Amino acid sequence: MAEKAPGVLAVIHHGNAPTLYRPDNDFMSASKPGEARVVFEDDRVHYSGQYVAIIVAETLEQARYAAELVQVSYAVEDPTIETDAALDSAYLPDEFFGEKLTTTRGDPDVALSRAAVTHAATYTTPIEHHNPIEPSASVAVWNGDELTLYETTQWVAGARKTVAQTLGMPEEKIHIVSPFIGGGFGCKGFVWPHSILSAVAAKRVNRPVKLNLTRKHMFSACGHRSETKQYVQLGAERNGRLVAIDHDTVVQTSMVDEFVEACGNTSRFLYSCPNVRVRHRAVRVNVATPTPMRAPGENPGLFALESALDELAYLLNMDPVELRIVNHADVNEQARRPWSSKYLKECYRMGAERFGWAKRAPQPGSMRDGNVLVGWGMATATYPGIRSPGAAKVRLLQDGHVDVVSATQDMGGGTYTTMAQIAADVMGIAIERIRTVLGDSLLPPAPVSGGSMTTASILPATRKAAQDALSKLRHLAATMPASPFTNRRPDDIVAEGGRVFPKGAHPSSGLPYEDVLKRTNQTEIEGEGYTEPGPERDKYAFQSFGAQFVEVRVDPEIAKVQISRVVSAFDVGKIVNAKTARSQGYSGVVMGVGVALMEHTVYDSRDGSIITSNLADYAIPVNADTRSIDILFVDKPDPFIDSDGLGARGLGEITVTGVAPAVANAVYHATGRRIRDLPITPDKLL
Amino acid sequence: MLRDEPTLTPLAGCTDLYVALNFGTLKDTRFLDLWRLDRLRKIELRGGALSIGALATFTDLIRSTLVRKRLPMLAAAARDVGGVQIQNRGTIGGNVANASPAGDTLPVLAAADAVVVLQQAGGIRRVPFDGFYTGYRQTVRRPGELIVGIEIPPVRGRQFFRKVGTRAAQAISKIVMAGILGPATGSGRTARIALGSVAPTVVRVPRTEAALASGASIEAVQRTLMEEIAPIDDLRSTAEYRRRVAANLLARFVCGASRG
Amino acid sequence: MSITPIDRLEFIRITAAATSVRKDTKSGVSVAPSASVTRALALRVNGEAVRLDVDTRVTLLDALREQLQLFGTKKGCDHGQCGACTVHVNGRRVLSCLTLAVMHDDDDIITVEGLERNGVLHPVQEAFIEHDAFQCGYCTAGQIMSAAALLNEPCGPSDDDVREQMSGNLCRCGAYPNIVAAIQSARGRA
Repeated sequence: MAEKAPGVLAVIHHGNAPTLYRPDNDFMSASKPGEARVVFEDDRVHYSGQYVAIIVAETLEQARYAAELVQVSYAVEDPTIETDAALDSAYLPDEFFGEKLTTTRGDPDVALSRAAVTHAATYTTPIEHHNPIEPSASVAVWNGDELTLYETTQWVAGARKTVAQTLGMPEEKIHIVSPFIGGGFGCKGFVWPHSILSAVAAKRVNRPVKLNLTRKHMFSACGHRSETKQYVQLGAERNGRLVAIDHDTVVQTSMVDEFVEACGNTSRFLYSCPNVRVRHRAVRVNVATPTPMRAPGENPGLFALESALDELAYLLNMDPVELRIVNHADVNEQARRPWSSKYLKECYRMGAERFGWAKRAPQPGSMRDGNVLVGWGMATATYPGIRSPGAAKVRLLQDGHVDVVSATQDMGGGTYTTMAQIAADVMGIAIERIRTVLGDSLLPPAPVSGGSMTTASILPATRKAAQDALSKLRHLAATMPASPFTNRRPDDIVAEGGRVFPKGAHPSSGLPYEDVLKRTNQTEIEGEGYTEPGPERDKYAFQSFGAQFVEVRVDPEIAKVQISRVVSAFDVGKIVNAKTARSQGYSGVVMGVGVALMEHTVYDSRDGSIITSNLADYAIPVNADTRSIDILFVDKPDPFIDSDGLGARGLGEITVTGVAPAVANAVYHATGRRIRDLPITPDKLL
Repeated sequence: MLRDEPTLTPLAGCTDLYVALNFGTLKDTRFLDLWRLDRLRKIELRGGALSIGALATFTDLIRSTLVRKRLPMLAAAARDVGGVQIQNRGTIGGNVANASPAGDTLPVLAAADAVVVLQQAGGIRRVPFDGFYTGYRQTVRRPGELIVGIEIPPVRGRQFFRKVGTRAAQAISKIVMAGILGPATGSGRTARIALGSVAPTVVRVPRTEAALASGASIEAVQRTLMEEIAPIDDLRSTAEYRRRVAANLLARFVCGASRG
Repeated sequence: MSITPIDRLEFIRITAAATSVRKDTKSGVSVAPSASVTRALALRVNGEAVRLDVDTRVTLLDALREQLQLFGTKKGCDHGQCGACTVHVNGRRVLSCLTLAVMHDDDDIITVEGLERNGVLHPVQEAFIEHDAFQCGYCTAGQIMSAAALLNEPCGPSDDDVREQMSGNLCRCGAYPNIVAAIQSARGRA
């Protein structure tokens, strides 16, 4: 019926889809679909929200109407939705993104049995959805055997390779364009079926096709953060020194791929402790495949570990900051390497001072403002200092403008700005003369905009490219006849501050950059920059740290938590741009407020459908949910993160990691109620 | 027109109805656009009663000096509806017709003994708010009838409105309470109390009101209320939470502070 | 392996009741016919008179984007919960995803493209840039349209007043502190 509806051009489904191929599904080689199963691969429905057909019509309204007419018949089976229902079949995944998922150091069992003070509890976090305000979308345009996809992707290089493999095409025939991304937070990192579907549909109807996900699709068609259950045991001496950490996690993965929310990885090295065991188990449920969501692993993992630390502090009758300082890890004890740089103690000090932590009365329920219960809590924040190979080009044009280009992406973190800023610094010209071009697979290759790696990967490459452009400019100047540079070697020529001039001479004796191009009839000069991590990675452990302090106010009559004040101090190396860095700080804290207080995707365990698949039932913070937020940075360079002296690590993810535990700890301080199950909704607190 | 085709769904602000359309929960597919019927937007005093046209928007209610003076709890409720963009389009008539148990203004109208004015080709009839809802999203509105206005008789006493939502603003209610507390008379006090999100429809709590009138202790009145309502566990909260918070809000209302 | 039942493609549930509305301009009342039809509309968009033929099922948002090519107004949820589609209708901010285009015959619509005057940005736009009041930029047009309307609405002076009045616009990047700062600065200037 749908095929005959007005305006309908094609109805594509399992029965008539073209042959598609499973890609390598390997992150390290840039072939990473959101889930291994290829769309329309079989006639089974593995989870609610799975695509069963796609309709192409002349207009959106016609497509919607025709979609209503599609009839699907199927045999109903009972789904597995809850972790507990699948616990018997839990298995031990070996590795995830190159990290071992189960490790033991020392003997935690013996250490726990002998510890003076122990704490053990289970912490749970729910399924969360990224919900960028821009839904994912794809526009496919074929030109003969060449395909251009206009995408909302955090990784144009990954999209190109993965789409190529799925469609069975050479990579060179595929062009991915994604200059702007309306937020991603992880759900636009890998290739999800809609990008394949738009390509397939456009081919079938022989014209461009646009496929936008609805908000409801965003809950089933581009990943989510898995639910986690984490059993944490801590053992300590009376003086607070940790003697044992056991962090045992159960996560969900789907029936059609494996994704592990690696909650325990951080517990191996965040504190100094001789006996540490970390284990991850996974269960398979009839839910779509999870995917990275801002600080995957760290975010739920730190909720458990940092809540547990707070509980231990109360058992020891110790200040929570003091307990963390006592257990400060001077080296990474798991990797057995020194930190490249670490100013965590400075974060505690700066944060505590700005927050006024010294005035905290430790007794729960002891700080009140009239009828309102006030609580102060804190937590450590952390995220790895990842770096990947990356390339950029800097083109100096005859009209004096400079293009800075790379196949990286900007989803709001400020990559456009910081790349331009670095190039402007190196070249000594106004930032207004610089145009940054990103998000196109034809540009020099760059890594995924994820893992907080863009700053450390792309800015050094940009810097190198700008330096290379100036070097080429000096060489070009040296070839100019009848000029101030006649008989000068490139080394005797200076290019800085927008002018080229003989070494030792006044800049005014030389020429503006662009005049060198004009007088040599060159349309442009192209500097190239490629940088990659080197042997320093085997010598040092690269990690960012922070401390987050939270004040909550709880109205006891309705048990509702308001987060009235957040102070965060971060050590993320050198700050490249104070404004965009502060905005990233706000961003993580606001998302953390959602994680702590409201975000929770609810499934109907009878049929696996998502009950909260809209932005009213899946509440994310509104403006009025945030009050005073302070962001502080240590701002000291990491001497080893890059060899180009920038010293900056990324900061997109660390900013969210300590918020939820700090809130839970503050709620305990306010009310005496320990909530170990996110989100902290009023019904759990009454 | 409604007489000729009674299954038409009247529509004005679209802020609820279009969502239902989008979610596929709405099966009626033909609509009657009322938005331009400006005479249904008036807020005025008529025969001592506050008369509010069905098309008065939440913004109209918030800004109306008449509403703010006579029924401040209605302005408070209107301010808690969605964001300002919704307040600019959503109407009181739509809130009443949509019949959600979580409708923010409905407890106010229930507590204020409002009257729903319905019109059809044959004429007008007035239905007391208490008898307007017959079940979950069910009302006594007949096919072909249109809600044209709400009438609210003079209210004496202190008014109270409180919504507890999923977040600080633009939230769906976990529980919403409106009340009017009359002056003390002899032993007790007359009170009219209504709650949303605790039953399939907005409800008044006559036994609780009677307990207040009889001069029972606040603890006893709270116990009565907790027995009288039968909320459920759902997405937005638990029955236990709703029961206890209802009792807490009642205490706050009766013992002092007005709008929290 | 067990299987989760799903009744239909996601498209279907979401779009179950696409509809149409016919407008009778004489009475100010519209009637919906059962079949899809196209209607002629005359309205003003950003000060310019516009005539449109719209499928009666089309929202104002889709008409602005798809027919008038005004892509500044964004679709974030298509059901009135995010605020990205905020435009001004007859001077008031409304959600263009929650209203059908056919209901706006003769109305005055301002979108984010219509805020600047003679190439000069609106004070709210200037303030958003100055205060870095956006990150990814997707919610920004809606935030700016709400903020521009707020300047002419009754709104208390405090940051909390602004936060409440701006809570109809979600920002997942969490630019709220900068949005509040930008609006307060624009109010000071206006």
